[in-house]
Amino acid sequence: MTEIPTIVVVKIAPIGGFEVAVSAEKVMLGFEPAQAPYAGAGEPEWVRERRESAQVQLGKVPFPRTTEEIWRYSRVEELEGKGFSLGQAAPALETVADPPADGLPGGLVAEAACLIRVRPGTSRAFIGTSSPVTFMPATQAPASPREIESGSDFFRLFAEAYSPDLYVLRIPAGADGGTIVVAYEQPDEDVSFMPQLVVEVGEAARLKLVEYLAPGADRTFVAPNAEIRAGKDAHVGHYQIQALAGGAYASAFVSHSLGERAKLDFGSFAFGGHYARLRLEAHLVGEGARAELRAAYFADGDQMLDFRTHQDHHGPGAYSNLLFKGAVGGTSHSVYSGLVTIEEGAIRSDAYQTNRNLVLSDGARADSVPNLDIRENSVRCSHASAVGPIDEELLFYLESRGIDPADAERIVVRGFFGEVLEGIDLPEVVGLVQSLVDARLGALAE
Amino acid sequence: MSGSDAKALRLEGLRAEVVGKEILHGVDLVIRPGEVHAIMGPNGSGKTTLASAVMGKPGYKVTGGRILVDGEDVTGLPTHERARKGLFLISQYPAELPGVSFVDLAEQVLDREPAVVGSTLVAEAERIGLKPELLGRSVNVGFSGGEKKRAETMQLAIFGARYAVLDELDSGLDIDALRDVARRIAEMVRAEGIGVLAITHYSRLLQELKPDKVHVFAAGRVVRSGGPELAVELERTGYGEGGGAD
Repeated sequence: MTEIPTIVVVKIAPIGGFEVAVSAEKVMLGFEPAQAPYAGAGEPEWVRERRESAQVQLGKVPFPRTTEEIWRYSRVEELEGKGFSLGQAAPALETVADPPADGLPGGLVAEAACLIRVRPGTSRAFIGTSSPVTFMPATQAPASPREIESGSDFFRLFAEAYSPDLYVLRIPAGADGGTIVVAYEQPDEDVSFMPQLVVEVGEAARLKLVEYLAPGADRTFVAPNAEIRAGKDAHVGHYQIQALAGGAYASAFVSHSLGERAKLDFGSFAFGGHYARLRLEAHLVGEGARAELRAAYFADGDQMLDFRTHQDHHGPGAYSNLLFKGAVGGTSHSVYSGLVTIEEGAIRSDAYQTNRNLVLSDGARADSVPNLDIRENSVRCSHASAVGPIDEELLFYLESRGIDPADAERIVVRGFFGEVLEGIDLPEVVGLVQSLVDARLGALAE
Repeated sequence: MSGSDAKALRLEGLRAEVVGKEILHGVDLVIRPGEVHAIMGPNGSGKTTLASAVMGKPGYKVTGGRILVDGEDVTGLPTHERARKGLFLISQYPAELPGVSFVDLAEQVLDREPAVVGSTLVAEAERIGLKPELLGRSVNVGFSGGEKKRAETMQLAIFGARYAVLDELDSGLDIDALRDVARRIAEMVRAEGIGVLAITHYSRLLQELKPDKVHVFAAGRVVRSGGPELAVELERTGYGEGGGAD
C-alpha cells in the first residue's frame, strides 16, 4: 500500500471555498477548520485499494480549469466559491418489503422490479421476491475489479477517493434483472453527495437500470458515478433522469464497458441543476459490441447543462450511435463535446455521433463540438452537429392548420425530442421524460 | 360588398413583396364556395408568392390590397387565425415534422375525443389511399411525393377548411396519386362546397379537378381570365400567347 500524501481537507467558509480534499500541494480556497476525509473503516481490500489508487491519481489531477478542453465553456470554476461538506456516514442498507415509493414519480415505481433509494448513510432497497439481482454496499461486496480504466475525471476520482457511498449491483450470468430503479436523494443543504454504483451484468444477462436524480436541496453538489460492466452477450438498458433542483451543482460520470456482442441502450435525460454535467464513456471492448447512446436535455433560466462523451472503440466490428438533442431557453447554455476514438484493431467499426440543439431565445446559447480520432482503416464514422432556432417552416405548417404559435412551438419541440425517445422499451420512463419536457415548455410560456 | 357576394375568398388589389421586392402587383380574384379557380403561369410569375401571401407566411409582406374570407378582412391576421377562418394551404413541398404524428396533429387541431379523431383519420386515409399505418408516423417524414400530397389532402378533408389554396398540387407525384387527390378535392367541392384556388403549370391536374375559371398569371398579376377552355388553349400554345411570361 502506498503512503498517501498528507490530505488537507478544508471546510468551507460561510462565503467561499468548495470543500475539496486535496493533497498538500494543491491550491485551495476558503479555509476553515479541517474535516477529516472519510476513512473507509471496515472496507474490504478491493475498496481500500480503489480508494487509495484514486487518491494517488487525484494528487496528479489539478482542480478543473476551463482552459482544459474537457472543461471548456463549463462553469466548474464556480464550484470553487461554493461550500459543500463531505459525507461521513458509512453506507448501510435496509431491505424493505414494499417498494419505497414515497415522493417518486408514479411511472418510475410502476415499472420497477426492484426499487432502491440511495441516500447518504442508510439506503433502502426493495428487491422483488423472484429477482436474481443482488444489491449491497461495497463493504459487503466481494472484489469487483475493473476491466478498463476510465478517464481521469476529477470528480470521479474525488468520489472514489472520498465518498463513503459505494454500492454494487449484480445480475448473474444468464439472468434477467428486469427493471431496476435507483433513486438518489441528497438530504441537506450544503452537503455533497457522490454516490457510486458499480453494476456487473453477467454473460447473457439482461438489465434495465433507471437512475433518478430526484429534486432535492437547492444548494448541493451531486456527483453520481455509475460504472457498468456488461459481459459477453449481455443486454443493458441504462437511463439516467436528472431532475435536480434549480440551484444544484452536479457532475455525473457514467462509464460502460461492453464485452463481446454486448448491447447497450443508454439515455441521459437532463433538466435540472444550475450547472449539471455528464461525462459519458462507452468503452466497446469486445468484438461486435453495440451501443446506442442518447440524450434529451432542456435548459432554461440561467442553467448550464454540459455533456462530454467518449465512444471508445477497441474491439473489432463494434457499433456505436450517439444522438444527443437539446434545447436552451432564457439565458441558459448547453455544451456538448464528444469524441469518437477508433483504436488500432477496432476494424469494421461503425461509429456515429449527432448533436442537435434548438436555441429558443436570443439570450440562450448552445455549444457543440464533435470530434473523431480514427486509428484504424475500414471503419465507418460520421459526426454531425447543429445549433439553431426552431425551423420557421415547421411553425408555419402548424399555424396554417390553425394551431396558435405557442402551441406550434411546443409541438415542434416535443417532436424534436421524440426522436431521442423512439425505441426505448420503458413507456413509463418515456412518459416521465415527456412530462419533464412539457414542464419546461410550460415554464418557457410563462 | 353585397350580401350575395359576401360568401367568397376575395382578393382585392393584393400587392405583396418578398425581401423588399414587390412580386404581386395587384391581384383581384373572387372564389365562391363550390368554385374551382385555376391559376396558370410560368415559373417566376409569382404564383407561390400569391399562395404564401394569402396564408400569411412569414417573409411575404402584403403592401396593399385586402384578403377577405366570407366578407371578413383577414389581411392583418396571423396565419393560425386565417386558418381558423377557413383558409387551408397545401404547399408545393409540404414540410416534414419530425416526432409529430398525424394523430398528434389531428388531436391538436380537432377538439374531439382521441377515439373519434383516430377513426376520422383512418376513414379519410383509406378514402384517399394513404396507408393507415402512416398515421402514427411523423408527418411527411420519409414520405414519397404521392404520400405527402395524399396526406395533405386528408387533412384538408378533415380539418374543416372552406377555401383551399393548392400550390402546385401536381408536382412530385405520380399519375395515380394525382388522380386520387384531384378526385377527392373535386368531391369536397361538390359535396361540401369548398372553394379552390389551384395553382399549376399544367392542365393535367385540371382534367380531374374541373375548373370553373382559369386565370393566366404573369409578372405578379392576372393577365387573362376565361373558362376551362383557356387551360386547353394554354396547353397548346404555351404562356407566350397567354399574356407574356416574365
